[in-house]
Amino acid sequence: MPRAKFQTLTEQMFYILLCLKEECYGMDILDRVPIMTQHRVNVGSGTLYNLLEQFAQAGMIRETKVEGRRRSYILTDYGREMLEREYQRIRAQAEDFCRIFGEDE
Amino acid sequence: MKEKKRTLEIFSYYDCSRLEKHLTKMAEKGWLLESISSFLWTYRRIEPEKLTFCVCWYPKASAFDPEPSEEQQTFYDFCQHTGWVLAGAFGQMQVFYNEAPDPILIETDPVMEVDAIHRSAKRTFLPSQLVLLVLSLLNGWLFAARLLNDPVGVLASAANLFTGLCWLFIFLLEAVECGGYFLWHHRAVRAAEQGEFLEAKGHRTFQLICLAAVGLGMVYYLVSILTSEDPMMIAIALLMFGVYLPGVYLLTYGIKTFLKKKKASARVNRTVTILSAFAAAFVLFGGITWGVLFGSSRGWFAGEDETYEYHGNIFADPQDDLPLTVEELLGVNFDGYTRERTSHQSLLVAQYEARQSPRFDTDDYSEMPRLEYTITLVKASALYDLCKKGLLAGWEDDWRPEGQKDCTIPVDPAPWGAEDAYQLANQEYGPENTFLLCYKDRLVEIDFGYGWEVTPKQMSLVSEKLGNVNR
Repeated sequence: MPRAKFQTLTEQMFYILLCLKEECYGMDILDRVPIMTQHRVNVGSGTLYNLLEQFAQAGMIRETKVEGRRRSYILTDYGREMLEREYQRIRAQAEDFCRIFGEDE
Repeated sequence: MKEKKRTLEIFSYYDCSRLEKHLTKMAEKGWLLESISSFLWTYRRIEPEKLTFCVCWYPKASAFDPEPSEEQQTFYDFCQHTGWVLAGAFGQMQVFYNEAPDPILIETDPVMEVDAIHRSAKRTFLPSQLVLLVLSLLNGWLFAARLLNDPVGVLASAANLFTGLCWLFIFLLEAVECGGYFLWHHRAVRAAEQGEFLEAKGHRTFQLICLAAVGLGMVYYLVSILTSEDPMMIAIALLMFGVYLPGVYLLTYGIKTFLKKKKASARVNRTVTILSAFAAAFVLFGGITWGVLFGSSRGWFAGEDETYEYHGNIFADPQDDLPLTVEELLGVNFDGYTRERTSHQSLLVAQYEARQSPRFDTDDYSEMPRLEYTITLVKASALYDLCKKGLLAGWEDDWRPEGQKDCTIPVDPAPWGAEDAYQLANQEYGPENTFLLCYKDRLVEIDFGYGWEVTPKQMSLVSEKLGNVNR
């Protein structure tokens, strides 16, 4: 069964939103995500382009500046809330892992 | 040295990986994709190098766009930022290359990649493929209906067999393409949910086989028409393949390109181009039909035959050699006959028609006996019964009310030297002077006209002359 849109965030979605804590040009995210993750996560240009459009439509980010074809974005409160929820989900997973394996060890 | 190369690329639209591998191989051979049109892909010569290609889909684009939109340009900027250079685009399909040895892919999220392909598919190739699928089904049904109603007419015509073959292969192609796409999409959505992009497996070999079959069919059709004895059919085939098809394509393509240059919006361009295509198809078809009818009335297709004028119209006066003539049957000579023999054939069935009738300007026009016969040679014996039933049904297919209909009466085949023989009769007026004679590999329909009754000696002559004749 397909997942509801943005109910859970993929790694790429998570880091794109994280980058937009501060106002940022869309294209710059392509460089920031690999740096932020020590090149563990890369975002493809097509994927980023589509995700920015979808995040904006969902109200998770908003456009702040347009300079020619360069557009900058920033996270909205709703986006922050989604990011927070994802963080809690990942934390809960980590805690479950520690509880189970921590007890074994 | 040639600097450009144009090729016809055959692939399934959603089979991006095969195309990417092909383009990489082309670059290794020193050919870089430069542009894509609806028909040919253009490559330019480069120093052979290892390039990575990526075929992706931009659903908002259109083949009718005068130029890439601002949004599309932004998409290109994003791609360029990671080293991807646009090689060519056609509508939603965008082809990029990257010189880096191991570049970050343009699409790194399989869910979004599958979604982009599907959104583009719904706007481009799926509607056209589904329309072709429905059209081919409709034409297949019409072809089957005609085959059952008039098997000889269909089977003895290279043109009918060619169009039937074309529609069959179009149906197979589109069924396989559409079915393959929906199957791939169904699986790809599930795989993407698991974080994996499912590569499509296109049907290139099958596509090539279908196209080769249609190509061979076309060559066979053209050869059989051009070597036929019918100048009118040759003219029609040349006009259809030399004027009609290229005319409609070039006009449509020209209008589309012109409107793109004039920066007309995609919607205006699409509407005008589609309407122009319909108008061009109707006007050219109408023009060709009118031209052929006009030429026919002026005797242009009489070939080497003599012509004569009667009441302002020109008529051909062929004097072909006929295997059986009125003179041979009746033992008397008449002046003022036209003797016409025509034939048309396919690999399966051949039909030879002979007609001996008085010229319109003959004084004894209404008094002179006529003779008309058609020999249907069934080359594929499995089709013999179908052809026989078809010819009999053709006689009995009568719209008139019961009591006035035509029907067939079995008659003694022995005097005709045939295996079976039938006589045409009318429920109201009784037997007519028309017979269907069934020989081993041929069916002879012969109409002796009015005014004389066939004798056993004449029947024997028919058997001798037509029962074993090859032409």
